[in-house]
Amino acid sequence: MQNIPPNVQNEITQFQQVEQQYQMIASQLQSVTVELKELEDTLEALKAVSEEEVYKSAGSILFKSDKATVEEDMTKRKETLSLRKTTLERQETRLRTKLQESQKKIQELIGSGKFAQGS
Amino acid sequence: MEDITQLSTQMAMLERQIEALNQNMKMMQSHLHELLVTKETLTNIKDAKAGQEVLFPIGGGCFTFGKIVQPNQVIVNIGSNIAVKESTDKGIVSVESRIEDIKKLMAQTSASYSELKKRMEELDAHGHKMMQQQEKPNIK
Repeated sequence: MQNIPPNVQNEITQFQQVEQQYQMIASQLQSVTVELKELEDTLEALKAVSEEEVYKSAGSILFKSDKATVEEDMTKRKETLSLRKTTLERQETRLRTKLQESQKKIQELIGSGKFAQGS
Repeated sequence: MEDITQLSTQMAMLERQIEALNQNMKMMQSHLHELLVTKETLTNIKDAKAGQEVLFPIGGGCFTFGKIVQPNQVIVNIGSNIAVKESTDKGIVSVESRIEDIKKLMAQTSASYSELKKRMEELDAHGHKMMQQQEKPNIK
C-alpha cells in the first residue's frame, strides 16, 4: 500500500466507501424483498381461509383477531414495503453505476501509468 | 505469482461459499427435525379424546397441566406472524408438504456443496502443481 500514490489511494478509498454503502443497501433490499414475498404469500393463503377468526402472533402468544382487520393491516404493510423496495432498488442501481465508474477510473489510472508520477 | 494470487482469491471465495452452504444445511436439518416432531405431535393430537389430560411444554424442560379441548382443530402459522384455525388433518398435510419442500431444498444444497468441494479440490491440486513448478531450479 505504501507504493500506491495518493490519487489512486483516494480513488480506492472512495471505491471502498461506495462498496460498503452498496452492500448495506443490497442487504436491506434482500430483507425487504423476503418480507414482501412472505406477506404476499400470506395474503394469498388468507384468501383461501373460510374462518373469520384469525390469530396474530406477538412474542410467544397469539392474539385473536378477525380476517378483515388482518388483511387490511397486511395490505397497508405491503404498500409501505413496496415503496421501500422501489427506493432501495433505485439506490442500488445508482451505487452499482458509481462502483463501475470508480472501478473503471482506477483501472485507467493504473493502465495509463499516471499513478507512477503520483499525480 | 499473479496466477497463484488469483488462485488463492478464488479458493478463499469458494471456502466462504462452502461455509455458507454448510450453515444453511445445519439450519435446514434443525428445521426438518422440528417439523418431524410437529407432525408426530399433530398425529397424536388427532387420535386424542376431547378433554384428555396432557402436559404442555413451557420451555426449559418444564411442563404445565392442561387438557386437549379440540383434538380435531389446530392453529397453524401461515406466515407473516399470522395463524389460522385448521382441521388437524389439514394441519398434518400442510406440515408434510413443508417436510417435502425442505427435503428437496436439502438435496439441492447438498448437490451444490459436493460440486463446490470438488472444485475446491481441483483448485487445490492445481495450486500444488504451480508451487512445485516454481520451486524447480532453473537449469540452463
